[in-house]
Amino acid sequence: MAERSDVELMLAVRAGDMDAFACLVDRHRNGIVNLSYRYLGNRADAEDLAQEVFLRVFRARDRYRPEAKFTTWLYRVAVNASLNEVRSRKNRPTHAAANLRAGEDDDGVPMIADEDATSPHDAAEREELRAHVRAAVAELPDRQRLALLLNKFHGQGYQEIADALELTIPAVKSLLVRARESVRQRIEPYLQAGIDLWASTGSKRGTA
Amino acid sequence: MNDQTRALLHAYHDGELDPGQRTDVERRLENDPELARHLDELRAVDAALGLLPVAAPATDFTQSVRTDAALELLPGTSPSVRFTQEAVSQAQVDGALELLSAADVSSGFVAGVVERAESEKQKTGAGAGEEKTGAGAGEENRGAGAARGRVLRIAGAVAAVAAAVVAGVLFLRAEPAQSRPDTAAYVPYEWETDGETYPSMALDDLEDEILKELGAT
Repeated sequence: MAERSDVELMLAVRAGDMDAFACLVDRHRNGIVNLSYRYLGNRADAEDLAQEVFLRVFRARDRYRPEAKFTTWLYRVAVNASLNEVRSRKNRPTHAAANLRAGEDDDGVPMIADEDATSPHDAAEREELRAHVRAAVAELPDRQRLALLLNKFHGQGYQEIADALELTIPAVKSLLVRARESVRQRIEPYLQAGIDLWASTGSKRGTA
Repeated sequence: MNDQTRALLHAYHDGELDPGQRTDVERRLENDPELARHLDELRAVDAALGLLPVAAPATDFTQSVRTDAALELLPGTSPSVRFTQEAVSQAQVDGALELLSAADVSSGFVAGVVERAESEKQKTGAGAGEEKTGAGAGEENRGAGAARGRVLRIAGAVAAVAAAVVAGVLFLRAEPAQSRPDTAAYVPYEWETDGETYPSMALDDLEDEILKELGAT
């Protein structure tokens, strides 16, 4: 039997099919968990946020209309949940919020392994670059951070990001330019290492 | 570089230009070393972002979401109900399972939740054991903590399902008193709803609370 599309699964969820819901969660959990993880900078909190995203999808099942791509709707839900999460943290400072600001709590797996570096010096430099880029991303304003992550890791173009963030395309362009400029300034001493890295890993977009 | 040129360069980098604009930017890049340097820096930023770590979801992620979602389908359980994990112990989970059995609940839904929760519980236990032999001390503690969190979360779900269903079944079927489990002695869990926290309570009391929620008292 052909694999059911996201829209077909969501319509089945609307009709009360819990297996279809589990299938949708399975299909998109990597993307949502990693968006949450890179947004919050903490894995345990990211899992909780990602669960909340899927529960919101479940709760909104009766209101779902298959007019847009399912992922557009899913990521809009994820963006709203992420913005709410950080808003509530600002009112209620937590240990995790401190992690977010510091860009620490490194309990994920590096996307590009240090063994790929050609020398110990390269590996050390890459590790420093990783730390700086994490800190730079953690310090970005919420919408800039989300726009950057959606573009880099979730294959989203300007229109999709605009839909998810409920902004205009010029506003999205502006967010991306400012976000990248902030990261560039933060990693300035390592720009050459970044250029070398780009040459070795190519220009393809990352994956969730 | 002015803002318009910068935006154009980013759009070129992002593959958002039409073919004519793209050719135009490429021509400018060949003749403008500063523009080419900015593109290199943009690519460096892009590559550096690729160094951000990736996280694999917990093995029970889907199961946990599904259980939470299923809980929201229970009558008398509002979406805002959240069960505090710390209040649920293994003994309470076992008690909940006994209650299910005693009340002869035959719902496929509940049985499915219980079966999946038990199987996840076993898997999680095995996973925590493996981590103890293979990982460093810090990871071990974190792994064990996360595993315990998952067990408690699932345990909470099972206890909640069991208690709510038993209470609901007892009410709807109006079972004779002698066929009831020993509800007075059983303290299922602490729970909160609509911002109000309820203490752990005997199932009889919980039943009253659920009936109140249903407007049946």
